[in-house]
Order: sequence, then C-alpha cells, then structure tokens
Amino acid sequence: MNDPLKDAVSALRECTSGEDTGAARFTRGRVLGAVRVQKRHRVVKFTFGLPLVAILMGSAAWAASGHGVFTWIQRASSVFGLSQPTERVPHTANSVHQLPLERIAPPQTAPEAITSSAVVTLPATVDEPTVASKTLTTKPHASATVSQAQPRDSEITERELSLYEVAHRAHFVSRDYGAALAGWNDYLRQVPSGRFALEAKYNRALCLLRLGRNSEAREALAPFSNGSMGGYRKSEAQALVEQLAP
Amino acid sequence: MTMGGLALTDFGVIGLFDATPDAELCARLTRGELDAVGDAYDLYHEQVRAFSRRLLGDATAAEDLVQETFVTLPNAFRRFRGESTLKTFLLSIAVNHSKHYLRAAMRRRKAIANLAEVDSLGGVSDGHDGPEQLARRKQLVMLIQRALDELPLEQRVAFVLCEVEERSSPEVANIVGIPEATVRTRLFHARKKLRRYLEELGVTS
Repeated sequence: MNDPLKDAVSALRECTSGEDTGAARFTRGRVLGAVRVQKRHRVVKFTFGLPLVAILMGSAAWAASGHGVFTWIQRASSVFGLSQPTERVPHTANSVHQLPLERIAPPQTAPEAITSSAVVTLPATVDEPTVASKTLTTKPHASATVSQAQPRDSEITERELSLYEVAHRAHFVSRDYGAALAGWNDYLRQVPSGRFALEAKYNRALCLLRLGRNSEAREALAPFSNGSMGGYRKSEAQALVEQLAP
Repeated sequence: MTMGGLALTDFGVIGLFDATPDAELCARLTRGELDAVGDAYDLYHEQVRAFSRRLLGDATAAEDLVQETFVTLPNAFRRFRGESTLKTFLLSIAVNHSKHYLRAAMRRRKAIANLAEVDSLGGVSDGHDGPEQLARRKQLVMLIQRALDELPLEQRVAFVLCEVEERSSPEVANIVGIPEATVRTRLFHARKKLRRYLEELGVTS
C-alpha cells in the first residue's frame, strides 16, 4: 500500500529535477550582468562618493575648529623659518588701525550681541572687534604709546597666538565671560605690547560689561571713547560709556 | 583532505555533508572576482534551481530566486565563515530570499488553478510512464503544491529540504540556521498537515 504523501513527494521531485539549459544560460547572463553593475556602482561610490564625503567632513571640521588658511600658512612659515609671506604689519602710530586682523584672528561667527539680561543695553551696531574680513580703516589718531605697543608681525609668537585663541574662544565660542576676562587679562599681562593688545583691551572691557562690572567697564572703555586709542572702536565705546554713565 | 564527512581546507573545517573542496572559489569570492560568481553559478546553479522550483512550485519565480541568490552572493559572502560548504551557503541565501518569491508563486498558482489549467512546473517525464500515469503524477504534483501552499514558510522549507531534497536534519539545520530538533518538529507538523490536506483532497493510496 503506497503512502500518498510519498507518492506526491516523489512526483514533485521528478517533475522538478529536469534542467532547462536555455533558462539556466539566460539566468547566468542576468546574474553576471547584475553583479557587474553592482561592482561598477561600488567602484563609483568609492572613487567619487567617499572623497566627496571626506572633503565635506574635512571642510566642516575645518570651519568648526575656527582656523583660517592663513593661520596655518603662517604657522608653517614660522616652522620652516620663512619670512611672512604677504603683508607686513606696519608699526607706526598712523598705521595701527590698518592691521590685517582677519588674517590672523580666527574667524568670528557673529558679532557679540548684548541681551536684555545684561546690565546695560548695548547698541545693536556694537560688534566685536575681530570680526573676520574687516580691515579697520578708521582714520588714525593714535598716540605714540599705542604705536610703540604694536610689534612687528614676525614677532608674534606661538605663545601669544595661543593666549589670544584661548581668550577668543572663551569669549566668542563658549561665551564664558569670566573665563574670557581671565584670558584677556592673561594676554595683556604676558604680552602687554602684543599684536592684539588693543583688541584684547576692548574685549576685556566688553567682558567686564557682560559680567555687570559697570564701573570697571566704563574705565576700560574710556581710553577708546576719548580717542586715546586712536579711532579704534571709538564710536561704539562712546555709546557704551554714555549708557554706563551714572 | 576529507576526514569522515569533514573537509579540511584553507578555511578550516568546512562541509559536514558535501565535502567539496571549493576553498579556491571561496578565496576568489573573498577577493571580489567577478568570474568567481560565474564559476559558483556553473557549479551550483542546478542544486539551487532544483530547490527553488521545489520550494516555490513555479519555474518563473524559481528562476528569479536563482538569479537573486547569485546576485547577492558577493555581498552575502562577507558573512561566510567557512563553517559550511558553498552549496549550503547558497541554499541558505535562497531560503532567506524565498519569502517574497513564494508569495508571487502562490498567487500565480491560484490563478492557474482557477483557470483549471495544468501546473506550470514544466516537469520532465522519465519517458517510461504511460499517458495516464503521467497525468496522474502531474495531478499529484499540482495537489502537493496546493497542499504546500497551506503550510507556513518555515515548515514548507523544512519539508522540501528534508523530504523532497532528501537532506538530513543536521544539514537542513545548517542551511536554515536553526537547531536540529526544531527541524524535526517542523517536519513532523508539515507531514501531519500535508497528509490531512491530501486526504481532504481525496488523494488516497
């Protein structure tokens, strides 16, 4: 007596054991074609896709790190003992305000805006002095002492640059004004006649303002508002001093 | 080198059942050689096709499954650890991809059944049966396919691999990636359901 299931299974096995060579050859062609296309896509992805992603990520990281091309060129030049490649910093009293700040300072994200929580409200036009891509062109009225405080470009040391960067980052990136004040004080103490001394002094005043130390801020801004520092941030300083007036 | 069912190759011990020394082919597949896929097809397409046709019961869907199995081989091969033969690995790829094709095959089969046509397997006769016997076997094939359609995919795979392909439980466990006991349980339930279904359809000894 036969088992119907076994019979059916046997029939199924026999029915499906034949080989259709035409179909097999056709499928082989389809398989190899598809695999070839797959491989081509992978090659294209690795040849173009990955470098593109790497470039984009590198650019983003570069921008996020707050470094400019010039900073790196400058550092490389100093490492190899090369002279400064382009502009030399003038060190006369009349040229204090034409310093190419944007070439050395890290790019600034946005001008500092004082919020309503600040002790005094600053005018909207007041911005931070190291805004990238600006070259200060105010008519200079600098005193001799200011001009003497400006060293040559080539005298900028790694130490000075790192002090500047620490203070700048605390001020404009992490917005920790206590740390920024300490940073600017540090800079002014260690390199009182540094390349960024003028800017450090102004930023220090802004930090004092942010911290609510109005009287100290007013004192720090006074030299800027009365023109002792030349025309550097004069109008902004005047506006701030006016608002800080008792 | 073969040792009692085990094949020692560059990849270690491979193949509990089919001790085919396809180590060189595996190495070429690892290197991503295009020709290696072609060679793997030439070597194993018959087994993969037979299994696909038995599982799906539809020549067109089976052909698509064969294609997908070999097309996905280069990517899937990254998971290959040399613990089984390449053939077993290919069958496991086919099992993994069969679900989608099975649905398509079942739809087609139902449509054909509704039209009261003969099955679409394109079967091959051994040439010794008479026309009546041949018709009966074709009828049986159609009925068993309809009965298989009633099974869950897991039981169907276990039944086709064990009963139709006559593979042992350990081998099926290796292909499907489940314990042997589970294979036997699935097979038991599949047989039970199929017998009942065939009885309902009036298939008797």
